[in-house]
Amino acid sequence: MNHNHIDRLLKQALQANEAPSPDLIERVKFAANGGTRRKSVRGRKPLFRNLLIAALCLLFVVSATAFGTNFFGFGLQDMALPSPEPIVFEYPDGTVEEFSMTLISLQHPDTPEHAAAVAWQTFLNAYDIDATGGNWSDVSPEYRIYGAYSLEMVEKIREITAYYELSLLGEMLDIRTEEEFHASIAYGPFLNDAIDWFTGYQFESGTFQGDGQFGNIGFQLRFARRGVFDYVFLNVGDIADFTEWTFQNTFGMPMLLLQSTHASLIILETEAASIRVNILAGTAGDRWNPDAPPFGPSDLEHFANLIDFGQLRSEVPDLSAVFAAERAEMNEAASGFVGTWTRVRTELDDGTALPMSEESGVEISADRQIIFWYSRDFLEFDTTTAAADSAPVGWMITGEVVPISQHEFTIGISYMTFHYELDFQTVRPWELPFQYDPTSGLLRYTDWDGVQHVFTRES
Amino acid sequence: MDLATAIDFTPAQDKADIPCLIDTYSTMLYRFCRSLTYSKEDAEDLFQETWIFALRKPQKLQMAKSPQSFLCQTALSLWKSQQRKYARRKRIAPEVPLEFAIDSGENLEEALLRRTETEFVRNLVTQLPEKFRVPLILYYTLEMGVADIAKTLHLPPGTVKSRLFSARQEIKKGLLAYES
Repeated sequence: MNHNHIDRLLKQALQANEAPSPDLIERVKFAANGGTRRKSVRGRKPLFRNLLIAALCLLFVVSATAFGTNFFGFGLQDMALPSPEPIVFEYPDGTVEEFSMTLISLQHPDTPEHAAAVAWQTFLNAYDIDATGGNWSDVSPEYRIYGAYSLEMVEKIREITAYYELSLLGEMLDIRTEEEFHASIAYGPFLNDAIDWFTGYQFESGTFQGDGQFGNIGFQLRFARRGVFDYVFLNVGDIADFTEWTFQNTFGMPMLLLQSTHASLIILETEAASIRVNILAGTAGDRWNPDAPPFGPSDLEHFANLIDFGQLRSEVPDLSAVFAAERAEMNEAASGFVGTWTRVRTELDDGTALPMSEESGVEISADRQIIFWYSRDFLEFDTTTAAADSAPVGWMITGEVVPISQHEFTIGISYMTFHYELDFQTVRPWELPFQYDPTSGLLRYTDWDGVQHVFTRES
Repeated sequence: MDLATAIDFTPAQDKADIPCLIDTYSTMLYRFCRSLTYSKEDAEDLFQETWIFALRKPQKLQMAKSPQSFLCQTALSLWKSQQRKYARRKRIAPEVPLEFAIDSGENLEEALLRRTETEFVRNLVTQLPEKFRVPLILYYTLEMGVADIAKTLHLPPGTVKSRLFSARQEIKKGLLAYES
């Protein structure tokens, strides 16, 4: 077996003939040509961006029409929240387009949970971080889940939950196995085999969300438990696009079904919770997924028959032992990383040293919370806006240490500040990798440009 | 989140030839993502995330001496930083192997044998440490030269050569073990 033979086999094995689908390329082009800087009518509204993302991440466009009398006594219209200001897009040719949004809560409209959602959204619509300032590190984790980044926002949440006698969502458990998840949310099997998988996360309070797949169609289920203040709202588009009808599935559960060209929704109310299932396809399929077939009314009813909602636990499962075990396991795994770390050098993968002009450091507390600050020359960092401002730029990240092994962990970013803008940068859920070498006692982080940052622990 | 939301849009004049760059480099980038992740779902995700990241700083992409290297480097960084996410998805989403084409003049038996051989080599490659695997993918999948790989990975050309050599040796060992 000579070099040429190996070479031929590798060529054969690694040759990739596949090309991205035209739709995939179109999505990228659409994003690239989508407009210029996105901004709200009254200037920056970083929180609004967060909400927009939360809404987009959870449930896509949903609206409804024909709100006649049904056995629920309400329709989506009744779940509407005060609408935030529209987003204005400036296109390259100077034309401007306004995108308005209508949000709805996930709660029954005649409940304290819905009233609390209205109060919170009203506050958010008027809240201007530019005027009030804010410091994420002042906000404890149980409030960060609501997107709070100032003590003023924390105070508002406390006020709302006290007034409406609601509890916070509590700690979030990222369910690690399908079996574990199922056992914690249901008495027994509740999904038909036609549904491929189901995973998600759960809060201490019992509210949970799961994601699943039905053929090529994705769906999301949120179980918003009563008595709990929830932060997830839905973006409701044009109400006139939707058709609504009542239905009873084969397990005898009454529900409200809604459908438009690109979205379908199942609404259920039980004693324990408001249940919402968002199916990411409508009568014309899924606009973002060309593999998803059209999903008509009979498909929606068929899908509704595949879930035995009655199997979902009515009582709040006691997950204290699971949470405690998870915390203990994580804390134990992260204990070796606890401390304050100072950057001592930067280098390339091959050990070539790089100049290091700015300070950087990492603080890791015993409860795995992390603050990571980092700075470098602005010109090096972002050529796009360097002409306007060549001041040094840095960023600060807060988040949580997620140990992978005793020598490796990632930082799950929950918040990022860019010093030069004093703005809040919206990031997708992001993880930064760190490696710890117990022999040398050094901690390493490799940044986007492939530069390694080496830290030592302060004694 | 949709792509339009994810991108921090920059002035229009800065991205006049962005569609052209997308047309030119998408296939290359997609193949790289596909080889890197060995999963269609992950590849599509990584492909989009790479463009999102690159388009946040279009000038950087446009001014890069080698957009190909820039994009591969970005994809690699993203992939490395999100390995936990991709690893988790691997448990729940089926992997779709790379396409396999039957050569003209090849009968079905030969094609099946070659397919088995190819799958075996691919598995060997996926088991290689990253520092060996990535240069191999850049070399064989994207047909990059040593100099470009060095630029992409921020490595001296000598190191790239040495890693390619070591990677081939590892593959050879695996094949010999299989044959014996």
